Amino acid sequence: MTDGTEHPSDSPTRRAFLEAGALALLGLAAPPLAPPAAAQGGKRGGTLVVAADVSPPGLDPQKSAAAHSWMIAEHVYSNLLRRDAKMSIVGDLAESWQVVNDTTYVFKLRRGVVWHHGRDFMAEDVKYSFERMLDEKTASPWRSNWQIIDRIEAPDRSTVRFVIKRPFAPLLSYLATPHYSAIVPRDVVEKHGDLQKEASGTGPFMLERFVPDNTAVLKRNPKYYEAGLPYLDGLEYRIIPDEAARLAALRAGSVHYLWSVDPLIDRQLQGAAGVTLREPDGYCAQHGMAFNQTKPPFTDARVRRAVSVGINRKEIIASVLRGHGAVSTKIPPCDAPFGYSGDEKGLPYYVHDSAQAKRLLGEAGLGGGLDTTLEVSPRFPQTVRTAEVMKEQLAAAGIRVTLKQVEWGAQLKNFVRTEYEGMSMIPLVWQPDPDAHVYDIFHSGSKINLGKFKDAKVDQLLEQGRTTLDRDKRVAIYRELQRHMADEAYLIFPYASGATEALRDTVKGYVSIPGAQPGSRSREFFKQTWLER
Amino acid sequence: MATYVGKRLLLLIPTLLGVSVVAFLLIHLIPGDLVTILLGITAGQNDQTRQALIHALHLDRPLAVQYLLWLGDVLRGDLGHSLVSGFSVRDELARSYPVTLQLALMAMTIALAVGIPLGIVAATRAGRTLDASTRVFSLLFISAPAFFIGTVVIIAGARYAPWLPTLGHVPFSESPGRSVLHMLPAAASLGLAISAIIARFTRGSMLDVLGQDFVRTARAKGVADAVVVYKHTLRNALIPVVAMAGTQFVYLIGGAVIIEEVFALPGMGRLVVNAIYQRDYTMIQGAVLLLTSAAVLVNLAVDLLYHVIDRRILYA
Repeated sequence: MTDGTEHPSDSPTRRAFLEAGALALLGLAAPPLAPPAAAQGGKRGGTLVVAADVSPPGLDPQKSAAAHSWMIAEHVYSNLLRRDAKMSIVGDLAESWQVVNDTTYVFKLRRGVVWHHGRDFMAEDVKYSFERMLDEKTASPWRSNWQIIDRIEAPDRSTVRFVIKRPFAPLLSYLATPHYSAIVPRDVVEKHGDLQKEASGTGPFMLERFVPDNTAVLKRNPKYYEAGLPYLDGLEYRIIPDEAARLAALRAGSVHYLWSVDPLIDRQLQGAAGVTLREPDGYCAQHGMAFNQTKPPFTDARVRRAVSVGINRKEIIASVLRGHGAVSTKIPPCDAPFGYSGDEKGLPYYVHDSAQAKRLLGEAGLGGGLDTTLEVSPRFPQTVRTAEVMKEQLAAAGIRVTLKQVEWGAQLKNFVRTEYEGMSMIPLVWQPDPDAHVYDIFHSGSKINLGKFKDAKVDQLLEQGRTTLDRDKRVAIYRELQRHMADEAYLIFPYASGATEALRDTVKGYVSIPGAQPGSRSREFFKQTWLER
Repeated sequence: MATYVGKRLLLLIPTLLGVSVVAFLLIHLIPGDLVTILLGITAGQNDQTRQALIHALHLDRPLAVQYLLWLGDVLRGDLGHSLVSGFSVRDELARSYPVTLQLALMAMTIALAVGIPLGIVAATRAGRTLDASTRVFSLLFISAPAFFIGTVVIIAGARYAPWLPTLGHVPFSESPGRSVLHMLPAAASLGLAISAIIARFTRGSMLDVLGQDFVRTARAKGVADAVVVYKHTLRNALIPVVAMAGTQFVYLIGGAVIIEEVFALPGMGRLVVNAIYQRDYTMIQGAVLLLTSAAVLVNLAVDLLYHVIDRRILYA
């Protein structure tokens, strides 16, 4: 749950993106890379304009934890691995790789790759990139992800060997996640101090100009290693904070692409000529509500269960999201088979039942009902609406909730430290691996255990999930973990939702992966996108 | 006069210091944790990563020391770097402030160019149809917030005149013509709201003066109506209008956050609000310093303007 930095203005769903069981490849030498996707009727030329809502606080993929930074940076930089449209892990800068044993991975690099500033790309650059993130002075938000690394060796210009401290199932997922593991050039970092305003990568687009609060202009990399790509001459992220203004720009045709988490987007764009809406293909971004379990009443499982059965998830999805969402745990439905399929089946205390909630309260000695608080931030209107509906539903079960609206920075701090009275709810984001979804926020030894609960069984499942490399066994572990978490109701996940994309009809060749994060994880798709003129 | 200006400028120094101390303390009083905001929930709680960042940002030093470190750098001409992005604060201010100044000047020009003539017309035709229509205009623009008018302009523009640039910003240095054109809808949305207030003010002030003895005397002497209105009345009526417009202008140069958001203008308003959300202390300090200086200087300019309008007003 490495989120919480610069949250987009309305919901961070946009930074969530999908990962499905890509770990199947583990233990096998990867097949040689398929030939680059050749032009399939794509036309060269044109600049695609994306309307972004928040200005990125710098573009250095190793320094900024903000989604708005990497949704631009991922077009500039490449990684060792990437995900294809089916979410399988395939090679990017690595042509092939081999898992030598549990803790040793060898990557063979593509030859002939050139940095945007003209120098040849080589194995030493990969080693440097990870060492930069591990260096305390970089203060990289991804540092803790890579502390598993024992050493990285570059025996020759096109070979990199990773030696890790112990078996670590999420490794390849992480290497295929643009913001976690972008490969950066040492000479450019050293020249400018960091890559917040300057950039040079090996990706399909090169940074031409970045003016904070205004625009980021990228142009085509003519030496990109997939011949013929990208089709576009350029890609521009125009920063337009106001949603009504973004939609107006799309109508007027000055913007080609945007996304929105507003479930009323279809009405807002009704009658807009030349605009097509794409529903999210899966729901990846969850809301999470935590209980303060350092003191009664939420130390009692029966009280937490009463809240869980007291809320009506389906009704929330129907009203707040107008149906554009699904029942979820922390591992969302779009992460099937790790995630549950989007309904309540197999998850205890997920089906709404006010009478049962009252009974549970009675058993816990709270027959007269319960008064408690729920913190939310007005920064996220959807979260506030969700809380309002939950308040009504819980009132029917005898749980009287007082909503407390708290400024986002303050709420986030309270939330991670469990410094709130009763309950607190924030939007959560999708993570590139089931382990990343749950380990830090569920583990009893973690400082950011949400709600400060301790459960030996949870800890054991978390460790198993992290070190088990067999995919089927791993799926079973995470499904058991989610069932157990629902049974104990340590945390409440009311739903998972997604964002709708809107495109001008002139945009061709754009594909989004199931449940993909609009605006982000779109590198694959923008490089194959073209404009019909 | 010169001593007066000199005194006012000297007064700037304690004002700025005082404001910067208050701003520095206030932002530290707001709950919330910069490190968590910066690093995200997971990394933000990793002890080593956290400590490294806190140390790098001097956040482990006492508040007074942090303030003095900052002040020392400022005196050497260095406003420091953003705690969030690492951008140079001076560069960021130099980028955003021209946008805000341009917007303020354009909006004020529109406000005065529309508001004063409307006020005069309304005053000279008090109680007649033209007066009533300017009253409707004024009430409309005083009641409807500028961001509402702005949103209507943008949506209507997209639908009926999609070729019209309504969004975004072209720096003045890049192309003055396109820059002014791009900013016109935003400046008009802001300016018309202020023009409505100026029109009401001008009308009231004009009517006051028109009722005074010297005006009647002038009329009795047979002075032409236009001379009575524009020479004798207007000049006397303008002083409260200038005072009020000056106050409005001070607000404008502080950055019009909402209009900047609606029209996607990269000005000071957005810079400051984002800095506050992100607890970007150095950026807030730099911005407060700049905005306070600008406000004090504009106030001084307005005071001096009184003398230009009415030579009887002198400064000691």
